[in-house]
Amino acid sequence: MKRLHADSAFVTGRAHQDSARPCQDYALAGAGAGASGPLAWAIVSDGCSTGGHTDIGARVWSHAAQQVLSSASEVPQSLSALEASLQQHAAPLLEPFTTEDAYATLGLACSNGVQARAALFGDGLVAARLRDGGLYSWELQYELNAPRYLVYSAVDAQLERWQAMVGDSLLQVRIERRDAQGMLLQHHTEVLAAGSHPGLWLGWDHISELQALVVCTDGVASVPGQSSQETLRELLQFKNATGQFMQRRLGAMARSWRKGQAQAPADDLAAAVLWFGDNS
Amino acid sequence: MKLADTLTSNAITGAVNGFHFSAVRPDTLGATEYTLVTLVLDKTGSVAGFAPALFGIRQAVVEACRRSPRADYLLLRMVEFATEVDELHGFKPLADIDVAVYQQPDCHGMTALRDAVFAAASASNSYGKTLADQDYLANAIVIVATDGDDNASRCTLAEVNAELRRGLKAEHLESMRTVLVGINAAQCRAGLQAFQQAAGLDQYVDVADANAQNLARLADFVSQSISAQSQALGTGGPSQALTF
Repeated sequence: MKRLHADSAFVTGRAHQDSARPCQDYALAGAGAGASGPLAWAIVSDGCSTGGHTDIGARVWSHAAQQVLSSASEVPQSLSALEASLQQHAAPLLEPFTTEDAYATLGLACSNGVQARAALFGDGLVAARLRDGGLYSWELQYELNAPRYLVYSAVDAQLERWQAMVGDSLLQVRIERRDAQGMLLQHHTEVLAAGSHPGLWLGWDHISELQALVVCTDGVASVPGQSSQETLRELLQFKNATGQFMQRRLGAMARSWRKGQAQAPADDLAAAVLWFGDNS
Repeated sequence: MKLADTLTSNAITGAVNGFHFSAVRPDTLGATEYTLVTLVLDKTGSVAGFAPALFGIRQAVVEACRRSPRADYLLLRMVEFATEVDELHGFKPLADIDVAVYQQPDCHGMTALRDAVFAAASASNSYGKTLADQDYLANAIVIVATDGDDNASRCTLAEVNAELRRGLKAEHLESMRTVLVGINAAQCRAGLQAFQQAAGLDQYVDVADANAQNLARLADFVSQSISAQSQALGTGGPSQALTF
């Protein structure tokens, strides 16, 4: 069983800073005892900028995901089962808020030290870093920039309205594999009908080759002059995986943005990581 | 200038211009930011008369820092100096400090004040760089207490002045607050103040007589200055100087 380290961080993007709006991204990471052994999780959420108080919505969905994972006895077995649990835990938390407040994506990764799972509801990016430094990534982008938010499934009329809006538009899943130097080895884009896919689901039954699993909001694609992959590589340049390692990394990046040494993301950016250490 | 870091079990060691320091390995630190605290106490022969009260402030400072809301973000290094500069322990978390190691030293020798300030600043700068390279945000505070003017240093005033600025210039440290404390130093107050200004230390504090009450006040002042500097971390600048 691998020793697990989990941490998360989020920063306000330039657009929200300039317009004096709150950060609508949120992230959580942690670990619980679990009924059949420890389970660690990494969670990100991105509130819709044209919704209601979606900074709150992003936090609510993140905390609902944390409730689901902290009470789980094993890693989730399917996207649909995970979504059902999320809806069940989110419903009471969302009660005081409007549906528009709950417009938020959700990305998560979890592991029990043997198996791992990752899911994206809405857009964003999941990446798996291998022990040889190689990197696999899955990036979801909705053609009309209208992600399927989890709250749509909780309200029939919302889901129908969203499906009517996205119509025949497409959902792209860009899958890449790079080597330790960042050289692109393989890439493939799956094009799906946006209206009929609830999200992305990835599973590993043996994590021996994995060094880290990362989930990011779509802010990773908003750094001017830089691809998502370049920003991702920067995010993953941990010097160690102790304590608040993701916060230190993103904090160092934010300081370089403030000093003008690098470009800040236009959009809010959240990242959460599971780091697989040595065998315990 | 030479910096040599070597890995030991849970500490790194380094040296700048022959002044050695040690510090906890960064990969054992969990937080995002740290204030590097160095307390340097004079152990020349002239402090022997009030040594118990003077060296008692170390324990008082550690205990006060442990009560600070910033306790988890402090790394404390304890140094003594006379003709040589000696590290009692390197930068380490308060939780790892055993105050039982704080024995009263044998007080004798000359006053290498410039060396003591240089050694404290250079250790902060070098370890600050190590932390910055590993994404940690860090600032520093150096407090040097003495009862006499320099008569034994090999460092020049210009070297001290340059070292006090090196970490900030290179942006390894967000800020560094430096305080020179004169204890029982009526006869050399002018010299100490001149050194403080010429070397570029931020503040000179005169404790006057080295009685138990004044040294207890000094322990409070040191603890509060440490806490203030730690609270300033992330603001981009140093804390405001506190009044003794």
